[in-house]
Amino acid sequence: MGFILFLALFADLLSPFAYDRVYFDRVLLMPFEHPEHPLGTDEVGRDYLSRLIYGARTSMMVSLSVQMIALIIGLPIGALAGYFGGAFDFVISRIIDIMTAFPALLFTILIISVLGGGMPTIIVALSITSWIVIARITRAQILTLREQEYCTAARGIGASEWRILFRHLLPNAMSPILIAVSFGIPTAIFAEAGLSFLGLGVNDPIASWGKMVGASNAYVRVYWHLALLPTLAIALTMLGFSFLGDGLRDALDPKQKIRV
Amino acid sequence: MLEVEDLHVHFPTPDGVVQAVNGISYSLGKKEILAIVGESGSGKSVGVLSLLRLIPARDCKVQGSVNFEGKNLLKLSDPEMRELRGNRIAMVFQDPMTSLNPVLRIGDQIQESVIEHQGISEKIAKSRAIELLELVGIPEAGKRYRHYPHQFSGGMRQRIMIAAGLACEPSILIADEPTTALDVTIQAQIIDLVKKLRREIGMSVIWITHDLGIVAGLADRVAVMYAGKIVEFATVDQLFKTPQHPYSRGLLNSLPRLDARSEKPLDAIEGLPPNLINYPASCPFLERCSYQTEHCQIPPEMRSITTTHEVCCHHAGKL
Repeated sequence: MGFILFLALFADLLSPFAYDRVYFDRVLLMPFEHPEHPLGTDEVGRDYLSRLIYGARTSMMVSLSVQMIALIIGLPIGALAGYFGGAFDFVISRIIDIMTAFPALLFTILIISVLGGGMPTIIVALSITSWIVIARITRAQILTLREQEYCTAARGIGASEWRILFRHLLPNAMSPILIAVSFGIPTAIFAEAGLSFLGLGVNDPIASWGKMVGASNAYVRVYWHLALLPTLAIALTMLGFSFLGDGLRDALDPKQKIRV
Repeated sequence: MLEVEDLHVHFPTPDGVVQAVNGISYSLGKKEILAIVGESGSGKSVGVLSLLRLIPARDCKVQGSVNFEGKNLLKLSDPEMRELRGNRIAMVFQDPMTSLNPVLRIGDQIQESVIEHQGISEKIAKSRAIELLELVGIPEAGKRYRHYPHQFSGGMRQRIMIAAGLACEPSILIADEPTTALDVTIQAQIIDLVKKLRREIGMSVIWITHDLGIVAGLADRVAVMYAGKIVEFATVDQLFKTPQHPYSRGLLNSLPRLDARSEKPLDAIEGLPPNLINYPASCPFLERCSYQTEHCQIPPEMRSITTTHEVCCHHAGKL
């Protein structure tokens, strides 16, 4: 996991070649066939190792920005809805219900087909479906926490409503929210890979694991590495982030451990 | 200092209106410790929570007036009320395990009200918080200041709650059963602490409890509450020596006595308090009262027996 982040951050330094550098004379090399391309090349002659490394950057960029935006939108909306209740809460809850009922992937595809492809659009489209999760969890947390006695106690010493919400309640709600974010990252990676696989993702020539799997379709019977390597990358990254989420949950929410 | 007049607190529920507090009136003098006793559900806590308007307005209906320094607390705007809470009137809650925020350092929680109300710098607030911790007897206050609530025992947390309540040197401290969750030894420490603070900073105290032992050891005057009403209001001596209301008598008789024969079982008050949704039209204690007469169908009014002793019973003074 840290390794993937490391790859994403230092992709420029680590890659033997640029991700879009094309060698017309080295198309579709098998791994180890050419000493300069340890993992072979793809159908237009780009170094596969470099593209895998840059793919990490795409995945990280999309998933981290999506979760960041989801957090920035979902957290305050969920917190306000949960704390103040009333009409605002009703509206937000209905929006959450509708969005939860609607298939997220379809919704994202709809947005992308309206706005056109490309990295920023993907981030926007995935954020629109992801903030719902954060808002729902935050709202539920605040709803239970606001009945806690220390909330009344804080009101009793004259703290303002905003202060109670942001200083007393939100820090208590943080651990499930952080856990949701860490589980949201692999979800976003997978969504980006899926969209790119379908050809709705990032534009060429940017490297994306999902797109690499998609492009390998035609060659996979012979050039198996084109499909296997990016798939492996996706799988390992998702596993890593899921473990991170599990670890965070065990560390931040010890009560849940018992339930395993 | 504080005048409560004809305070009513009603909770509308789907099953009917719960009449939790039904017209209580009392006054609190300067440097006075007033104890409010009564069994669970008698309206003690609701009665004081509503003084500071800590029950969300959407959940309840409050009537009457609460006068403090010439202002009716029930009519103040929210910002004015907030200015008062913690600053002039502070509250200490019942359960020290849940009333402190688990994720904030206790120092921050103690100094919160000072920073909020007096707008002083963090640095001065910090030294004030350490001073308060020492005042309530937390050893190594400078170090403990940085600890979290889970690092303290129940008694220490309760003292921290009291320290937080005292931070702004309030004129009135309202304590809602602050020692109920504690050992008797810690109870004694806290009672001594409150008495000392009353002497030193001259504050008045409203102390809610159902422990008559604490009343005897701490209070100047006592209000006995039953079914949302004050049924007897007297000095501590008067209540313990000449209780007038049948309920107060029942309470005192139910206490174990050192000089009584040990085989004799303790007297209990038979029956249950009335349902607060269908509030009885008669005297609320009627069903459980062994002195009842036909006259008791008419609800009694508060009557003065002496200048400091009021009872809400037709038979007061005649029992």
